[in-house]
Amino acid sequence: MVNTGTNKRLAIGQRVMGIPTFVVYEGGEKVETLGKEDANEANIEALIERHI
Amino acid sequence: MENIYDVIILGGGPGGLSAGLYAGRSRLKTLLIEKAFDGGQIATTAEIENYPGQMEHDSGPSLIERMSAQTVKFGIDKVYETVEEVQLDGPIKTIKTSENTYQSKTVIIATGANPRPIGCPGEKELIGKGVSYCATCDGAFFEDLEVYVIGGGDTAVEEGVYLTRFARKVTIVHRRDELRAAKYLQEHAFANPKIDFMWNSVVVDVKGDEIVEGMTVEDTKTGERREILADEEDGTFGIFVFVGFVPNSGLYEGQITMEGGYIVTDEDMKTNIDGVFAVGDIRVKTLRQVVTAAADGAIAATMADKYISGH
Repeated sequence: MVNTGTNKRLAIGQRVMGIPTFVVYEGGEKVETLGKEDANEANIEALIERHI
Repeated sequence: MENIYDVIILGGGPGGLSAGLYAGRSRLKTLLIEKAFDGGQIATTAEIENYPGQMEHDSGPSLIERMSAQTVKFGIDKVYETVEEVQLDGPIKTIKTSENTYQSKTVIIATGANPRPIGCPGEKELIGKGVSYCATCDGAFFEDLEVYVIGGGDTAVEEGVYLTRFARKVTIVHRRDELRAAKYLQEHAFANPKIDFMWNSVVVDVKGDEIVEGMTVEDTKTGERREILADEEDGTFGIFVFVGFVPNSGLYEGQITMEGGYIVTDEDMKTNIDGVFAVGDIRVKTLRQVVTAAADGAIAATMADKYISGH
């Protein structure tokens, strides 16, 4: 979990400029992003199930 | 059936909460259905200066928290579910949500409106990546960066002023050569050294690789186009869009009389269907504010009570 309020440069570097944003990293690689427009219950659940 | 509500309220913004408060105090068996979180648009408003009795420098969420607590105190039921279908005709109305089916003698529609997008290429793809419709939510991301606010009404100017707390510079991009916002707000904006204006201008596209890196602005008088690119060191800038609203009325299409997507009511909040009322931003009205939504809610709950008791 990144507090984007205190890690702004990191957030910009990771292309995150809005909350909530879910980003999945595997082995240090960004593999999937779920932005605020699509961050509903069903999509978050599916995201977790796909990767965990 | 045992479990028929007197009133079902759709939406937990100021209109819905106020209706809930009045219905609860009238001892009507009341259910409020909200899809996400209480407050509607007010939950994403940084500061509310024009609600009577509101404390100075108090936020939208804080006002809503008090409204919400006050409503629940009077014993109404509240669920967080998404309404999928409504059947409004006849003496018993049916509301289907993602999880349940509810029945009620009356329905108060308070589902409000959502921010209207610009509708230009690139905008949708970059939501949450530099494009935002909520200064309270995303403003802090733009600390010491440049921000463009699109629009010239109350919301645009108010949120533009708020964004100067974070941004290095705020440019208000407006399609006309003067603001439509209340004079008091305009004075604030003109006096703020961090705010600049780009008149007679509309955004025609937004560009960027996974983050906003540029946009094209067109002069509405000359048709001339100009590209605005992010400062190299910054790498990005913010685009905050406040160009009006779209009513959340899709669910009621074909059942209720509307005008341009807004629900038509009389001054008692009655729609064309008996026992169905509409309040707040979703109805055809001149002034869409917290104070008018709250007033609508009080009237609708009172009229629902009268309707149920047959007066």
